[in-house]
Amino acid sequence: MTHEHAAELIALHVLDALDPGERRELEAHVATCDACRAELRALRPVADALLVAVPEREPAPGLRGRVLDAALAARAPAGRRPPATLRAALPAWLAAAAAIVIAAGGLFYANRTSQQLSAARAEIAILTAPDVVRVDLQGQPVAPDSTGRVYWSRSRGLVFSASKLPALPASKIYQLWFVTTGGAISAGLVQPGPSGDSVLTFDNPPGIVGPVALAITIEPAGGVPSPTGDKYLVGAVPAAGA
Amino acid sequence: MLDGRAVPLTLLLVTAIFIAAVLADTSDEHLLERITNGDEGALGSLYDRHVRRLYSLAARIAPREADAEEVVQDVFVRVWTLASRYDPGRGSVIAWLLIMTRSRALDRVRALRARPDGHNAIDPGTIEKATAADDTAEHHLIGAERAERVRSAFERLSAPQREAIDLAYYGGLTHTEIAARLREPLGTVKTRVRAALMKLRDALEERA
Repeated sequence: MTHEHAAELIALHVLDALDPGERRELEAHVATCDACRAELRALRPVADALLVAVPEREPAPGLRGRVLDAALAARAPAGRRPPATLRAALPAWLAAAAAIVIAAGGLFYANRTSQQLSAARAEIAILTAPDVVRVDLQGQPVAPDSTGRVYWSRSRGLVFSASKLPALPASKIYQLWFVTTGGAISAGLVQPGPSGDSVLTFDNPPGIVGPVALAITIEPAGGVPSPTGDKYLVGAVPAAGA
Repeated sequence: MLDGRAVPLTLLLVTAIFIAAVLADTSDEHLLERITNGDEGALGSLYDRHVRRLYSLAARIAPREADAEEVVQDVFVRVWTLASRYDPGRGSVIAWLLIMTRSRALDRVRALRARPDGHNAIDPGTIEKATAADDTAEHHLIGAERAERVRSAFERLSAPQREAIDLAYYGGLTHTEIAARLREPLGTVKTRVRAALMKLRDALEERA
C-alpha cells in the first residue's frame, strides 16, 4: 500500500468503514509510517466524539428492572466468586469484624489454656510436695458405689478426685471438709461432671489444726459454713499428715 | 486485651474503615471491579450512571425503542458476565461501554436487515464483518460541551456528507457498500467522508 493510498483511507478506518482486507493492509502501513500514525491520532477522537454526539433519548423507566433481571439471570460473573452483594459491599467491615472475633476467640482460648496450664502446674506441685499424704475416701451408706481420693500437702494444698458421685438436684452441691478436732472447715465446693466424676485442686483453708479426716457432704447450693447434710465420702487422714 | 475502652474505640475504627471503603468505591473502575466480584448493587449504580448515554447511542443506530432497549440489555448482560475483560489501558469504562453499545447495536440492525422479509436486504457478507473492528485502539471520550459542538457541527454538514458518515459510523457499512447504496463512485465516497471528518475535527478542536 502506498502512503498516498493509505492516507486516503485513514478517515474511513476511524469510522470503521474499511473492508477487512483493506483494514489489515492499512494497519500494516500505519505501523511503519509516522505521518499516518499522527493522522490516525488526530482523527480517532472525532470518531469517538460521534459515540456521544447523538440526540439524547430518555430510556423508559421500566428498562432498569428488565436489564438488571436479565443480567442476573444470565449467570454469575465469569470464573469468579458467586454473587455476594454484601461480601463485595462490606469488605472492610467484615474483615475488621472477623479480625475482632478471631482476636477475641484467640484471647479467650489463650486465657483458658493458661488457666488449664496453671491448674495442672498446681496439681503437680501438690502431688510432688515432700509432705504430701494420700487420703482414700470411702462411699458412705447414701452412696455406697462412690469412691474418692485426696492428695493433701499441708504446705501446698490438695488435689481431690472422686468417681460415681450421685447426680445432684440444682438446689444442692457437694462440699469438701477438713474434719479437725476444733470442728469442720470447708475446703471448697464440688460439682461433679455428668458421670459423677470430679478432679479439683484446692488451696488449704486457714486454721487446719491436726485434721483427722476429710469428708464430702451434700449441702444447699452455694455451700454452708459448717456441714448440715448427709456424708457421701469420708476418709481418715494418716497420722503422718496430721 | 479487649478492655472496656478498647471495644468502643475498635468499633469506631471499624465504622471509619467502612465509610472510607464506601466513599472510595465510587469510580467506574471500582464499580466494574465490584461487578467482577458479583456485586449486584454495583451493576445498578453503573446502569444509573451511564444508561442515558448508552441508550441514546443505541437508539441513534437502532431507532426502534424495542431494538434500542434490547441493545442496552445485551450490553449490561455482557458487563455482568464479562466485566473482567475490561482493559483500563485502552480507555475509560464509559468508552468501553459505548464501543460495546455501538457494536451490539450494529449487530442488531444488520440482523434486522438480513431478514428475508426486511426491506433493504443486503449482502450477507456484511454480517460477517465483525464489529469488533478497531477495538485494539485507545479511546478517549470528550466532555458534554465538546460533544455538543461535534453534534451541532454534524448537523451543519452537507446532506451527502451527513449521509456518508451516518451510513458508515451509525450504519456499519463499508465504503464499498456506501458507494453501492448511493450509486456513486468509490473515490467520491472516500473524499466526502474525509472532508466531513475534517469539519468535525475542526469543531472538536475549536476553542470555546
